[in-house]
Amino acid sequence: MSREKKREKPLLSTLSEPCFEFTGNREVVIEGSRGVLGYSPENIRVNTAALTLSLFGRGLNLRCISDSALVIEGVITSVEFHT
Amino acid sequence: MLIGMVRYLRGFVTFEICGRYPERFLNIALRSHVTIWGTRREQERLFASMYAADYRRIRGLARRSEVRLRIVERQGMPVLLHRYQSRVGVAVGGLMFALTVFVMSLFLWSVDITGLERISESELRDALHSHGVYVGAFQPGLDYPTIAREMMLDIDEIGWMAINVRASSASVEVKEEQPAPDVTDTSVPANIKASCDGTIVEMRVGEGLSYITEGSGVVAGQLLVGGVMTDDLGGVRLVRSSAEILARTHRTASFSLGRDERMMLPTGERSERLRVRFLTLELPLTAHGVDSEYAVVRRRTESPVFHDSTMPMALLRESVTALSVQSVERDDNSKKEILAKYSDLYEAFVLSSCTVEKRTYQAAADDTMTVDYTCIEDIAVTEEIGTDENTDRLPARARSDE
Repeated sequence: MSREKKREKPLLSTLSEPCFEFTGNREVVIEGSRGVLGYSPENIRVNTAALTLSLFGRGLNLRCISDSALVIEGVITSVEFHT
Repeated sequence: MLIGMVRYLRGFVTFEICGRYPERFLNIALRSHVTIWGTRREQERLFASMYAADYRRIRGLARRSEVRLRIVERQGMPVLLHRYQSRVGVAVGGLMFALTVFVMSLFLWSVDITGLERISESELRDALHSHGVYVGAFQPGLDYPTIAREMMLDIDEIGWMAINVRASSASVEVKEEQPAPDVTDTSVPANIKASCDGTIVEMRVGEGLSYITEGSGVVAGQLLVGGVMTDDLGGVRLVRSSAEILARTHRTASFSLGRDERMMLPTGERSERLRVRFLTLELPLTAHGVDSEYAVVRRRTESPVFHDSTMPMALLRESVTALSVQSVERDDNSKKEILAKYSDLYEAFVLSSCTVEKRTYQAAADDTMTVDYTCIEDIAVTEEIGTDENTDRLPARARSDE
């Protein structure tokens, strides 16, 4: 990977594993996402390289999406990891 | 806040994604390094926002992902500029307004002065003007603390001074110097002598040895109360004499009128003219004048005040009265009246410390009047006695005797 490409990537994305940062059950920041597999106010599924993260809840929204990270807000009631 | 500002400056669109797999579109967009925010799902419809430049780039990708995009709203500065590109005047006007406000804030709009008691306001305004503080002065070049210090050094009557500037209004606060009280050194022995000729009417001696009595006639310079006290044993003690010696004195004053009395008198011709002032620039609105070599101009300044702030413009109303030099012919009664007024002025200013008992008027033929005043006044004058400690103040006679 060229130096410019590395610089574009956030620091946490350089890790081999995805990184999840929860703020209570109202917000989650996912670093290292590879795409959104499903999107509804009750369920959002996110593909990361190693696993698929499935969030369940109410009023879930994708607040911000970039090429390697996304921010999900809403009331998160449960989280599932599919390997 | 900052992100919102960047988004507004770059311009962004809110759009609706219609299709079977909107998530697919999102993933394709993310791989193209497009940032998407504000995503929300309402039933089967998906809404999102992205930069306007990215949206133009992403339309081809949308067709590939089998979704249709529909713009719901365009927002931001580029949209605003595009909307008003045919109305250049509005943008230029807004720019000119912002520029005018910025430029005007660099100048002083008003200078208010508070705290003056003895110093005249016009004198202080002239001094401030010479230091660069005046209506219309360029503010960035002014160092107010230094100016205040220099003003305090220049004008002795100023004890403390501060120039506070709020926006474009300067407020000058002045505390005048309190004059030091005249302290008499009571340890220095002194005599009391007569300041002029007269007859003693009343005397109140506080300290010292009196050499006169009521009814005595005295001449100027005569010793009235001595500061050298001798006790019964022959010892000498020096004291500082204090006394109030009221005497009846006589003064004579002559008043005369010039033979050829010429005065500047109004001719009756008057004119009003208007000028408008903006900062330091003055423009005449009307140019009326008077046809005379001499004229007196009265100027009245009217400045608008908005929310306790004086605006930097003013309307000046000038009243011009023509004057001419004229010879004045007076009759006898008029001459007497004027000479009597001269006499009144003499009493008010020269004889202010006296009580005038009697006046005797003697009129002469050549427009001259002589007045004899009989007054009651305090003729006591303190004169220090020379001692070993203050030999430089020895009386001239005593020093020559040595």
